[in-house]
Parts: sequence; C-alpha cells; structure tokens
Amino acid sequence: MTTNDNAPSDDAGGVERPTNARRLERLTESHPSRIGVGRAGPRPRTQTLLEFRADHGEARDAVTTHVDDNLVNRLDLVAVRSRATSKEEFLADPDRGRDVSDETVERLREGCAEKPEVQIVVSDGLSSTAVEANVPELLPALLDGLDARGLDVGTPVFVEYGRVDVMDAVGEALDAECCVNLIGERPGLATNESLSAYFVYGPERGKSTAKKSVISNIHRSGLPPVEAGAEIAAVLEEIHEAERSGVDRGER
Amino acid sequence: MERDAAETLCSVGIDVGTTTTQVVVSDLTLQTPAVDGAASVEVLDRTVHYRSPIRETPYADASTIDTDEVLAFVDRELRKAGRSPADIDTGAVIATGAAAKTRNAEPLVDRLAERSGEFVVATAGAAYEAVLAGRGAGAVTRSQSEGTTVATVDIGGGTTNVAVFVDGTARQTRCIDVGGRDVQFDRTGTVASVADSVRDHYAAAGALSDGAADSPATHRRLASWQADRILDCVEGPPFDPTTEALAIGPLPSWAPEIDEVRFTGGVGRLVADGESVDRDPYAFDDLGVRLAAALRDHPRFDTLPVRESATDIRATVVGVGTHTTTFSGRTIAVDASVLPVRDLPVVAVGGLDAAESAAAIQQRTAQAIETARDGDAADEFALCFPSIGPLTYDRVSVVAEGIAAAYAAAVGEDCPLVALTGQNCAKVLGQTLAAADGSRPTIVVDELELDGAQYVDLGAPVANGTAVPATLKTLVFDE
Repeated sequence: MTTNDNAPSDDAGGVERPTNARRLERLTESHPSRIGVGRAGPRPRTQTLLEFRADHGEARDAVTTHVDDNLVNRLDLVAVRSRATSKEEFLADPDRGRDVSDETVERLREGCAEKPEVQIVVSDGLSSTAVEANVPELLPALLDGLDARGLDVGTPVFVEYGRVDVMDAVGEALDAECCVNLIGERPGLATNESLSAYFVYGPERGKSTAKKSVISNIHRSGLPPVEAGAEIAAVLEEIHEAERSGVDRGER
Repeated sequence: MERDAAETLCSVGIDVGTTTTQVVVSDLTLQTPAVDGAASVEVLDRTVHYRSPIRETPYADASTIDTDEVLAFVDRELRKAGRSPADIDTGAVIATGAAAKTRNAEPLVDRLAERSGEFVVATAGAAYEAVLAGRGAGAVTRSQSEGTTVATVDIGGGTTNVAVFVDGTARQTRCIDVGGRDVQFDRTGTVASVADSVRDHYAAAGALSDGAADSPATHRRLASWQADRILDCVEGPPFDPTTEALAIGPLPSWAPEIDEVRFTGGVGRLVADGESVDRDPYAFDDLGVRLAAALRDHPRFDTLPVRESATDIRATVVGVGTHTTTFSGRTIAVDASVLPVRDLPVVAVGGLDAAESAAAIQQRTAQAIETARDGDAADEFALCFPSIGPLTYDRVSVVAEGIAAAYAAAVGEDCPLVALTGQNCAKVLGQTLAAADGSRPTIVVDELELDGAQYVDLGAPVANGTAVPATLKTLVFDE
C-alpha cells in the first residue's frame, strides 16, 4: 500500500486523518450505509446526527402519511379500505390490515370486473411515499405488458391501510385467478421509497405466505419502477401458466 | 422466479500467440438469485480443470499459421481434458501478438470458435488481450478486495500489454510492440530474423542484420532498450517518443498511482520468478531471457511494487477461458429464436440524453445504423444505448417510438433489432419496442459493461431464460 495519499481530505466524510483516504472514499461510495462519518469525542458529529434524524423523520412520515387522493383518481384505481379505520389501528392490529369488511366486498363487486385472470391491488402498507413515488411509472408499464400477453386484467384497486395479505381478501371477493399487490415496504434510513410486488395464485383468505412470490426493492436506486412493471407482467404470465405461486413454483 | 440453484457451464479458452499456443478448460458456476428483480446472474466460481501443455505456435511460413496443426492440437487437448465440443457451452479463442497479423489468423480463429463448442467466440486485439490477461492474473479480484490499483504487464513473444485495474474495473490499457521474439536466433546462435519494430525504432539495429554472428553485448544492449520501453510504458505518461512510436492503439493521458504490478506472459514469468538470471540466455532461441534479465537488473525495476502472479505464462489463456463470458441483467427481452448471434458490430447511439423528441431519437438512431453498415450493407449489427435518459414510462415510450421508426425506415423487416443498454431497462424497452413493431424479432439486453466494445456475441438464454451470456470484444487482426 502506498503512503503518500494519507493527507487529510474533506471528501472522506467525518474521518480526520484517515490511514488511506482513497480506500475510505471508495468504501463510503460503494454503500448507502452511514460509514466513515467520524465522531466528536464519543458522540456523532452534529451534521451526522442531523442527517440521521432527518432520514428517520422521513421514514416515519412514509409510514404515517396517506396516499394522495388525486393520485388514486388519476390512476383510475377503485379506492377501498381494509378493516382498519385509522393508521393507529392499522399499526396496532395487523390482522385488520389483512382483511376487508362485507360492505367493502359488496363495493368491490359493484365497482370492479369479476373473475379476472389478473387482479392488480395497490396498498399503502408501511410507506405511502413508496406508492406515490413508484406506482405512476410502474402501473402503465405493467398494464402494457399484461395487454401484450393477452391476459384478462381486472379493475385495479387501491386499499388504504392494506397489508400484503389483503390481496387474498380482494382476490377472493372478485374471484380472481391471480393477484399482485404493489405495496409500500417498511421504510429504512437509506430509502423510504421502496416498493414490493407480492404475487398469489388462487387468492383466498388465510393462504399461507409460502404460497406467495415477491419482487422487492423497487425504487429509483434499486429495480427502476418502469422496468419492474415489465418484469411483474412477465412473472404474472409465468404464474398464470404454471397455475401456482410461491414455494410451489420451486422457489426457496 | 429462479431457484437458488447453481448452474455450471463448461468454458474453453484457446490462445494462439506469437510464440506459444495453449488451451484451458474450465467450469463456470453461475449463481442465480432466488428472488426476481434487481439481482443479476453472477459467476460464483471459475475453476480451471484442464491446462494443456504450452506448445510452440506452428507456422507454415513466416506469415502463415499451420492451421491443421493448431486444429489437431486443440482436438487432442480437448480429448485429454475429457470433453468434446458438444460438452462445451462457452469460451473464446484469441489470436495475439504477431500471430494475429498472419494472413490466415482471422479464418483460423473463426474456425476454432465455430468447432470448439456451442457458444465459443472469436476475439483479437491487443487492448482486449491486455484486459483478459489481467483478469486471468486475478487483477479484478485483487483490486476489488483490496481497493487498490493493480497493473498487469503481459510480456509475450510479440507484444507487451499492460492493463490497469482500479477497484475491480479495467481502466486503462497500454500496448506496445516489444516482445521476446523481436529477435530470433537459429541453433547456432546466429540472428535469424529481426522484427520490423526493432528495425524501425532501435537506433543500433544495423548491428543485428540477418546472419550476423552472435554478440552477447549487442543483444544485452537491445534487451536493455526493450526494458526501457516496457518500464516507460508502465510508468507513463508522459511517454518517451520511441515508446509512443511503438504503441499499438492509443496510450493513456493520465497516470494512476499503481499499488501493485504483476508480470505475466512467457517473458513476464521469467521476470517474476527470477529464473532468468541462471538460464541459458538463448534457451528459447530468442531475446526473451535477456529481456527478463534486463528488466530485473534495471535501476527502476526495484521501485515497482512487484507481486507474483499465480497464473504467469497462462494469464491470457486463463482470462480467455474464464473471463470472456459475462452475463446480462436478469430482466431481458429476447426473441430466443434469433440467438445465438455472433460478431455483431456494436455502434453506440450517443447523445440520446439530449434528444427529446421521438423525431430527434429517430435521427440519431438512423445515423448509428448508417455507421454500423458503413463498408458492408449487412443488417446484422447491434446498437448500444449507454443511457436513454431518465427511466420513466413516458421517456421509454418516446425512445421506443424513435428507435422503431428508424428501423422501419432503414432496416428490412425480418432483420432483428439487437439493443444493448447500460441502464436496467431491457424488459420495458423490449416490451415497448415490440408493441411499436410487433413483427420484428427484438433482443434487448441490459446492464453490460459497454466500454470499448466493438463487437458482441450473445448466446442462448441461461438460468431458466432470465439472462443471456454475452461477450463484448474486439476483433482487430492488423494492428
């Protein structure tokens, strides 16, 4: 190792006089984690602490805010709610987020096509921010992909206070062959915009998680949403043809 | 969705060099991640399972390789490796140094590639060889795991090829016409031939005329001049004008700080292990041993951070056998009926970021199509899109419209559209292109390192159809 690049560098973040500034820089650039941030005595530096708290604030906002009604309308989604009646109840009682009421079942049957081959569900889950950031780009690419494959697509639904398994209740209500749930992931401190797509063949309440498939990490720095839309369409076609999802498809 | 299972491909590497010809057979273990989406197919393990003996490259005459002899050697070595061409999935053939300049190098390499396995590709070019030798010498892994800058110096019979790896990526190549075979001797120690590069650029070349009597002092001086050129090539820029005159292709304009140097190749091996000092200086009937000794004795040699390489003389063939095949991202759009495709010229569609309208995109694509066809009117080419701009639905739609219009106007309707993208957008671009022009076979492959590629070969899909093997390469026989 050479020693002539040991000079302190402002670029190396908070570490003063790093042994090897160049390697430290490569490490910090290679990963979104908070490494090489330095310290002030035993505590974080002021800047580091402020950034941490700002990111934490954004993560909390992603959980507690609501998806904009205008967006739901613009995307032509039929909006319903899970059995939870507020964010607080949704967070405190997970089971309510997995189910819909009998009245909601009626509303779904009135407002949506029944017996579709593919039912699209959008749920806020734990990040409304993720839905707002990704679904507008993802959904049209997904619909194009399904259309090109000749799959019969139902009326896309938005479920407020929805968890992953709410697609079982919605799919059961509409007698869908398969469902995909585009749902906001639990936000982290690196991104609060990450979305997942969960899949189920033959949705019914209580269907085990093992029977479900997933594409995760959909966001601008992960799998780009527009590419995810095309990929999800391909996976739905596979599931439709294989007539199964999850471990039944040989996934581990 | 893919199982977390490993898939193994058998890969062959064949190196027809100035002085020696070698074959290696390897197994590449692919890792296909359990979850769909962002993850890509990776080569988990590369195990060289058979190394042929190193044989002299057979020449029929000074400018012709003995094709039959090479083909027979390769067949024999594959048999010894316990593999037939039917067992071989992938790999590459490379012609290097002076061998690449022979009259029949190109047909020979094509023929070897064609008959040695399912998806074995033909390659040639000093810069490409430099990178492969570096990969074969472990420079990628080393520079990545240590976060260092590693230079590999591959000294063969005809050329010296330097590759500089920064953090796992080849950033520079420096190739010059200096090698151990620059002078050849006959059995009596008399000069049998002198390379043009020496005649043209070495001031004292007159003392080396064919048939001249052996004079160790003269040879030592020439070897020391060669060593000067090689060290200058490693240490520059700036470069000495003579080094520049000997350069094959461009030399870099900036000098990275090099943490580690590895010598490989037939002469490089002698440098690395210090054997050269004790050897008969004419053991190989050429200047190789003297050149290695001149490098070791050079006053600047000790300032280089030299490290031994495990693959030494086999660096190129190991690189060719294990590092030519890369894999696309897992989201691809392919009409598999068109695959494999071989030797497609790659033309970049640049400046697309600045082209806003479909019409502007069509124009730039049309220009690239024209460039691709320059010289021969073939419709077989690949367009490469380093960036199509922001990955939004509207942008992808506009770009696809422009590309499809350019193809509709200029390319026969049965001809495939082959596109390589730097961004992760193959599936959506492929889907949108297919919607715009449903009848044309369309292949879009993403997340490849596109830098410096002149040609591409794409194989049939692997990993349950989720990725394709790809070789981005050069084919330069007359440098």
